[in-house]
Parts: sequence; C-alpha cells; structure tokens
Amino acid sequence: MSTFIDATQQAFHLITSGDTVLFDIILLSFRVSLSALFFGLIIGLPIAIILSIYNFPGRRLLHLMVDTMMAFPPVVVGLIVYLLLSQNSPLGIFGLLYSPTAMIIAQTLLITPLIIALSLPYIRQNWLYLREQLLMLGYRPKQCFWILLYESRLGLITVTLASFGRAIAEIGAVMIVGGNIGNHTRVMTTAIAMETQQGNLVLALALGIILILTALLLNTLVHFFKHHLTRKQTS
Amino acid sequence: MNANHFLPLAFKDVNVILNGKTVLNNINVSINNDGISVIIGSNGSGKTMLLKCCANLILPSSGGIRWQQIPTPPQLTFVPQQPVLLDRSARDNIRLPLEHNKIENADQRCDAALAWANIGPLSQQPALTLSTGEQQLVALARAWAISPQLLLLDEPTANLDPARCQDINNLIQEMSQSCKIIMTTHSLKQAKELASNIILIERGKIVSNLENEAFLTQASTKNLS
Repeated sequence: MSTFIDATQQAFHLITSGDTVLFDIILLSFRVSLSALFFGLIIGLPIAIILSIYNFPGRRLLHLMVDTMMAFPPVVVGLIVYLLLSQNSPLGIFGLLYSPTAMIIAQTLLITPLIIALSLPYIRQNWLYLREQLLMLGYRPKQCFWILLYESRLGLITVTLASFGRAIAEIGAVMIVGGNIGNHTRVMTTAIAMETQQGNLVLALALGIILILTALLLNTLVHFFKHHLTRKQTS
Repeated sequence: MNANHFLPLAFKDVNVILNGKTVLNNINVSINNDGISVIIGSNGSGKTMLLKCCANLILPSSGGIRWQQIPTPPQLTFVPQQPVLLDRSARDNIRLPLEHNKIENADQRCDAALAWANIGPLSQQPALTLSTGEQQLVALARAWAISPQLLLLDEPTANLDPARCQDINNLIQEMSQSCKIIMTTHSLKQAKELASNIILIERGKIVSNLENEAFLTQASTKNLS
C-alpha cells in the first residue's frame, strides 16, 4: 500500500514539475488521437448522412459492414494496417510503418465506424423530422448536409467526445503499427504498458492519472451534452 | 401574383394504398383557382393524405394528379399541422430558406414577414422554445416570405386557443389575396369563415365538392356540425 501511495505522490510531482518526457508522450498522444478524430469525422459524417438520407441498393449491407467494423478488435485493425504499410506491401514505399502517421491511420480506421454508427441515429432522426419541410422549402436532399449537421450538433458533440475517448485509450493497434519507439511513437497507453513491465511505476502512474483525468473530463462533457439534449427534446 | 398559371388541379381516379390499407379511394376532384379551398373531414378521413398528394410528398398508387403546369418548390409550400422549425432563432427560420432560394433582399423580406405575422418581438428567440401558436405563426411567416403560388396548410389552427385561431385565420385570409390556398380542417366553423369552396372527404372518399354557400346549405339540411 505504501508503494502505491509513494508512487502516486511521485507521479503527481512528475506532473506538476512539467517533466519533458512525460509531456512529450502526452502531446504525441493528443496529436495522434485528435488527428485520427479529425479524419474520422471527415470520412464518417458524410457516410452517416448518406446512409440517413438516401435509400440505395446495398444500403443495408453498408450499414451491416459499419456495425461489423465497429466490433473489430483493435489488434486486428493494427495487424491489417501493419500488413498494408510493411515494406513488401504496395504502400510500403511510403515508409510509414512505425511512425505517428501509421498510428493515425490505425486509429482513424478504428473510430470511423464508431462515428458513423453513433451519429446515424441523430442525423436520421433529424432528417425524418425535417425532410418534408426542407423539400417543400426548395432544398434538395444533397443540399441538406450542413443543415442536418447543425441540427444534430448536440448529439454529434457527444459522438465526437466518445470517439476521441476511444482513440486516446487505444493500445493494441498503435503498439503494432507504432512500435512504441521513445521520442517518436510512444503514446500514453503504450508507455504505461512498457513502464509497468519495467517496474517504473511512477511514470506509468503519472500517465495513468492523466489518462483517467482525460476520460473523466470527456465523460463529464458527454453527460453534460446528453443532459442538455434530453432537456431540449423534452421541451 | 397570379395563381392561374398552374391551376386547376385535377385528381383523376387517385388511389393511395399505404401498408396494405387504402387511405385514398378513387379520388376524382378538381380544385379551382379561386380563393381558399378547404378540405374538411373527420380525423383519419384522408385530408392530410390528399394535401400531401397535392404537395407531391405522397405519390398515388394508381391514378394521376394533373396540373396545368406542375409547380415546384418554392412556388408550392406546405405547412404541416405541427410546425416543423429549425433549432435556430425565429428570424433564421424565415431567413435561411429565402437565402437558399436566392430571393432578393432576404433580410428586408424577413423583417416584413415578421411584421406581417406580428411576431417581431419573438424574432431572436429560439424557435423551438416558442409556444405551438407562435411556432405556427413563424411557419406561416416563412411561407408568406417565400411568396408561393400555392400554399398548402394542414389544420393550421389545430390545438390552438380561440384568440390565436382568429389571428391565424386573419393571416390566411390575407394571404389568399396573393396566392391560392388549399387547407384542411375538421372545423365547419373555420371552413365557413374561410372557404370559397369546400371538399368533404370521409373514409378516403370524396363526398362532395361544393361552393361554400351550397355546402353550408346542404350541411344544414343534413344537420352536420
């Protein structure tokens, strides 16, 4: 117990003293996960809107694929990205393996299905509510993109936060494609795993505290927006 | 504005079957281009369905709807029973469709619409926080601002108090000076006040399509209320 308390005290000291190793890892984690979130939203939201608005052959199949991809184990996604980026593969010439870019690709692949699946109900609900009126006001379905995004904004903020939470807490895929190289591809989750194995509990615990605080902040925001959304729908 | 460009509107042997249920049954009716045509009937009689067919929101299972010239939005505007507004200010709800349809002087037109419906003080309030009656006024102001040739109103005064009903009836009457209006109601009183002709629909079938006075004479002899 005293080891745990000592380690926690030292971890807080590490955080408050502004340790450069610690903060490099934190910054890289946020850079990778925020980039993945950005690309995930760019790819995922248009797909969610298309699935909400249009009925086309293969729509259900696409929906099923999205749901299936959402359940993919991260290590499998990591393995697929590894195989795509390894030297003998067509994308190997870009030399992306063991780089932050590879980690961004892996995280993007992981969270895009999540973004599509979670945002679909919000967008679909707004489309069903607004559809007739927008068409009568002279809008064509493809012109409703920004209106639907804006009308679904509270739900989409929740989706964004949940997806970021999933990305930053991910370990399996980024370990495989990033390689956990110090000062290059080491992020919070991979660093915690490594430092724990090496017995450096102080750094591991400091990173764990940051990760927990991040999760706490994200969940607080998710609850806040959900509460706001429910209140709005009730009114 | 001249509504004669596209009316009369004629339903020829129109049937609408939804989920195996016939909701409109062999509809044959012509709607002329004068004033306000009121479709009257009890709940579930097919009034809204008939209106949605006019708006091209529901396609007939068989039969056809003939226009002299098919109007397309925004020449044709539909205001549903429950106002459908965006989660923005009342003003933005009126302004955005104007800008989308590239209607000139959108801001001035928006101000004029707010003044017309007497909802200027509500202009900056979030539309979804307004009362149903106020939301209905915003929806009407939005329709007015677009200046449609044909306005379709689905029970515009349902669930409103008598004072608000009168406000909306007055606005509808004023709008009918500049565009053709087809509206539904189940209130004979409202039909009597507004209609130039009244179409009675029951269980998906047209029972009569008469001028206001002729309909009311018939109604009094049959003791309809």
